[in-house]
This record gives sequence, structure tokens and C-alpha cells, in this order.
Amino acid sequence: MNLIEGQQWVSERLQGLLVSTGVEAVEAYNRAVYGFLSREISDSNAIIRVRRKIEEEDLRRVRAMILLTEKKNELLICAICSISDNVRSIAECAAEIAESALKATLS
Amino acid sequence: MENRKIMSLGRASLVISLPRNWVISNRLKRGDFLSVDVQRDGSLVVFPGMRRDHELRKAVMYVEPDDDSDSISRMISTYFLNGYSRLEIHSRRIFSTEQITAIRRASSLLYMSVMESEAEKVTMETLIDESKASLTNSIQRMHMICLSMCKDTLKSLRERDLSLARAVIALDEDVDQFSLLMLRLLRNAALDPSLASQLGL
Repeated sequence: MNLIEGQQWVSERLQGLLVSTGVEAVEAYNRAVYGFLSREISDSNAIIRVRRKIEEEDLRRVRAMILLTEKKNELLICAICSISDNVRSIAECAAEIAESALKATLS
Repeated sequence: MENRKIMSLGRASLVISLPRNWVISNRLKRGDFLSVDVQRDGSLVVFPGMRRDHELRKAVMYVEPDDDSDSISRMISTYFLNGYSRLEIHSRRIFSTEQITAIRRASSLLYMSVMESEAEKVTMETLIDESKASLTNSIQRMHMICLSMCKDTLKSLRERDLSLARAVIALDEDVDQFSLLMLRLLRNAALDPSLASQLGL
């Protein structure tokens, strides 16, 4: 059973943080691909910094918030951890594409 | 890199000599044919022997009665990624329904068309002209699908929209399709300097 059908959901605050972190990661990914294809590297270092911010600040806050607010619901904790891992993967992809753009352009 | 001096032969022809080691390693002798191909960067690639343009690479694959759909898909993908354009799939007996479904699913995922279909043999052929493919366009199209998937995922999360989440899952195969095509192009380009040049690599 999925979370939506199961009527189990996280707090508005946690959902908001998760979605805003996701939006930031997706925007970084979009800018990274644009930079790679257009060989425009002025934004590349900023994208690499976004990855660090997402990993070290935003997702840490998400994990801390899950443990504080959802400590009795294992299914929900696993689902949110899985989503936050995927958000981290998007940020990682963005940073790797930005690095590739830097390498391709500078070489 | 070796440097060669252009010499004249007769009134109009200009010639260069071939590197001796290359001639020996390709077992060439006087009177043999070579093929030459001008690249986008102005360089000239010399191939030993006659080379036909867009030669269709063919392979024959055998399916055992107990092969499951995953192993059949993997085998077909491997032939596709290794640059084969025509694939004859033979069953040791006759294909099961599950096996035929796997073959048809793989053919649609790999931009291949089923040309012949019998109880114990299926022939598939790729419809792509690789020389006209564009890596940049493929990356752009893949990116547009991925971007829309990410945005819709976040929207489904925000609005708790189950049907939107399911629609995102369905798009995954489209990205796989582009990804496999790009891998095939890059692998073929690594082995074929002419194709690499046509792709702008």
C-alpha cells in the first residue's frame, strides 16, 4: 500500500521542507544541463555549492525532523528517508553535470 | 604521429606513402583496396579493405525454453548496445507467451521493429539511421522528460496526487529508451571514427 492511499502523511512543515529541497535540487539540475549544453559555466560552481548545502543542511534538517515528529511510524520514516535520498541523488547529478561542463569547457 | 610528404604521380594525382608497420599489421599488399573517409575536422581516415556504407550488422540469438523474460531482455539489449542492427532470435522449441511478450517489449524499448514473427523465430531490425542521430538532441529530449518527471513528482508530493505519481512512473521507460540509444551511439562511435565524426565527437 502506498502512503497516499494509506492516509498516512507527514506534518505540513516536514512536507514543505522536503518539497522546497526537492525544488532546489531540480532547479540546480536544470541549470546544470543548460550550462553543459550551452557551455556556459558561470553558474557551475554555484550548482556544486547547492549540492553541499542540500546534503549538509536541508536533508539533515529533514532527517532530524522525521525522528522528532514521526518516531512511531516506521513506514512513514522509511518513505521520507527514501524520498530524501532521491532528492540528494538529483543534487548529486546536478553537481556532476556541472563538473562535466567545467571540465569540457576548460579543456 | 608520423609526417608524410605529398608526392606527385603523373600530371594530376598526388600521393602519400602508407606507414610500413600499418601495412604489415593489416596484411596489405600491392593491388589491395583501401577506403578513405573525410572527417568533419578535415582529417582523413584510411580503412584497410573495401568498406560499405551503413553495413547492417546481424546477429543470431538462441532462446532456451526456460529462459525468463528478464534474461531475454538483457540478451537483446546487449546485442543492441554492441551495435547489431538486425537480430534473429531462435527458440530451441517454440516461444512461450511470456518470452514473446518480452521480445516485443524489448523491441519497442530499443527502437527496433519486428520484421518476421513465427512460433520459433523472430527477426527484429533497428530503424535508426545512426549517421543522422544527434547526441545533443537526445540529451535535450532526455533532460526535458527527466525535468518534467521531477516537477510532477514534487507536485504529486505537495498535492498528494496519486494518479500524477503513477503517470511519472510510466515515463521512466521513455528515459531508458533514450539512454540505451545514446549508449549504443557512443559505443559505436568509439569503434568507428567516421560515425564519431558524423556525431560531432
